[in-house]
Amino acid sequence: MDFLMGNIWLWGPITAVVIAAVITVNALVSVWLERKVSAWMQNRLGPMENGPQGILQTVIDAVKLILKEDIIARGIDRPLFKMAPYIVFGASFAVFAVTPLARGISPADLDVGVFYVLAISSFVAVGIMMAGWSSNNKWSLYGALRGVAQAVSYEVPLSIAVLTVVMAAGSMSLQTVCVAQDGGFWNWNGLALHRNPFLVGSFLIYFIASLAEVNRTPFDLPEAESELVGGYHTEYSGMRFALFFLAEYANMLAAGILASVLFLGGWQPLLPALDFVPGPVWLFGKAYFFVVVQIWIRMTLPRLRVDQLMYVCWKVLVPSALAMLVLGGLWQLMIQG
Amino acid sequence: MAYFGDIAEGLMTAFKGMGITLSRVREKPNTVQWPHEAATTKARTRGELFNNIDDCIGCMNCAKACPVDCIDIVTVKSTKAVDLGRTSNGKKKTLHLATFDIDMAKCCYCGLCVEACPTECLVMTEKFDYSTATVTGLHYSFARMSESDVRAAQEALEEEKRLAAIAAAEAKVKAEAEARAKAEAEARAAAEAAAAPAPAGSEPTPTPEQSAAPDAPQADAGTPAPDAPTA
Repeated sequence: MDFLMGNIWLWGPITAVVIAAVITVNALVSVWLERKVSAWMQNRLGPMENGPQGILQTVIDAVKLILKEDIIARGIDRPLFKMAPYIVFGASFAVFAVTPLARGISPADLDVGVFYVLAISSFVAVGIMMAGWSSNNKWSLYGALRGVAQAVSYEVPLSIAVLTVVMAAGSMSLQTVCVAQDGGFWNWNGLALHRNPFLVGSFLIYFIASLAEVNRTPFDLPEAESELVGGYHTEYSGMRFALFFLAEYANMLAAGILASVLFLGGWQPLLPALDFVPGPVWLFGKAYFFVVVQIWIRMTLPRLRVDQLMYVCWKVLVPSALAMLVLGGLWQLMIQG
Repeated sequence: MAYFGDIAEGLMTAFKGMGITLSRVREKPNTVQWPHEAATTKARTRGELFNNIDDCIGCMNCAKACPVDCIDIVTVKSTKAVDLGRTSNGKKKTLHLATFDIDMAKCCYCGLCVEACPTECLVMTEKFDYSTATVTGLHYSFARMSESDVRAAQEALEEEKRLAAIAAAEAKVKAEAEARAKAEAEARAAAEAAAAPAPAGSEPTPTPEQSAAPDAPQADAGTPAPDAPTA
C-alpha cells in the first residue's frame, strides 16, 4: 500500500479509474434508491420488474441513455454547449480525490483538503452557467442563473460551517479531521455535545446549505421541472445529459461523504470495538445515509421561492453560521483551553 | 422575536413533515402488481365486448346504436323448415347470423350497444388487458357459421323463394282460369237470363277474385303459403 501510494504514476490512474467506477455505480444505486424510497413514502412499490426489487432498472435506463441520439439544436453556442457537461462532471469527479477512505488511506491526502473541496465544487456553478447560457433557451438560462446565484450564496454559510470543524480539528486535511473524531460515535463532531456543542448547530447549517449546493429539494430551483422544463440541462440529450445526471448524483454522494467526514467521523466505526469493519464501509454507509435523507427531504418539502431561498441563506444561515463559528471558537478558547 | 420563532417553526414543521413521510414507509403499498396478480376492477367496468351468440337474434339494434360503427352484422333469414330455437329470455330466433364482427380497435366503450340489446346477449366484460400486436387482432368475430353454412342457408332461402314464386305463379294461373270459367259461366247465365225473363231479387254471384284467392293454396298442398317469403 505504501509503495502504491508513494508512486504517483501508479496511484493516480488507479484512483481515477476507481473513482469513475464509484461515481457510475453510485448514480445507478442512487437513482434506484431515489425511486424506491420515494415510492415507499408514497405507498407505492417503485420499480419491480427488472431484477430483485427492480435493481436493474437503472442499468437499463443507463443503456438507453447511452444509445440515445446526441441532439444539438440550431442557434446554440456549440463549443460551450459541448464543454459544459464535462466541466460539471469533471468538477464533481475531482471532489472525490481527497476522500479519506480509511485511517491513512486517501486517494490524495491534501493539507488543504477542505479548501480543495470547496474550491473544486464551485466549478460546478461555472459548468451550469455555461450549459444554461449556450443552450440559447430561456428556461435553461433561468435555471442556470438560479443555479449560480444559489451555489454562490450557499457557499458562504457552507464554508463558515466547515470552518468551525476545521477550527476544532486544527487542520484542513480531511484525514486529520477524521482522526480528530476518534473513539466512538459520542466523539463525532455532529454528535459530541460534550466536546463542542456548537458543532452540532454547524452540522445542521452545513446539511441545509449542502442541499442547496447540490440542487436538491427544497432548493432545486435550477432544475424546477414544473416551472423550467428541466432547467439548465433542458436542451441536452443522450450521453451529455447522462453526464449531468451522473454529476448530480455524484454531487449528492460527495455532499454526503463530506458531511460524514466533517461531522460523523468519516471512516470512524460506530464503536471502537467495531474497528474490524473496513473504513470505506463506514464512510459509504454514512454517506448513503445522507443520500437517503436528501431523498426523504425531497419527498417531504415543497420547493422554495427564489426570494425565500435567498432569505434562508443570507438572513438565517449566514448569521447563525457566524454565531456558531464565534461561539464555537470561544468555547474552545474558554472551556477546552 | 418573530425571526427566531419563524426559524423554529420552519424547522419544527420540516421535521413534522418528515415524520409523516416516514410513517408512510410502514404502510401497505396500494400498488397492484398486475399482470403478476389479478387486477381489481370496479363494478360496471366497461371493458371488452362479448356477444353470447346463442342468445343473439340478429336484430341489428347494437349496430345501429354504435356511434363509431364498429359492429358489423350480416344475417340470412331462416326457412320455414329450420327451427333456430329461442333465446334464453324467450324470443324466437328467425335469422341465421352469418357475420357478427366487433372491431374493438374502433370501440369507444360508450356501452350504447349493450343498452340497445333486447336479449342482453351483448355485454361489456371487465376484461381490459387484451392488447394485441396487430390492429386486426382486435377484430372479433362471434358468428359460428362457416362459409359453407352461410351458402347453404342462402341457397335454402333462395330455393324457398323460388318454390314460393312457382306456387304463387301456379295459383295465379289457376285463379285466372277459374275467373275466366266463372266469367264464361256468368256470361252464359246472363245470356240464358236474357233469353228468359230475369228472376226478381236474385243475389249476384260472388266475384271471381273473392272466391279464387282462399281456394288457391289448397289447390297445391305440397308448397308453403305464397306470402311466406315476402315477410
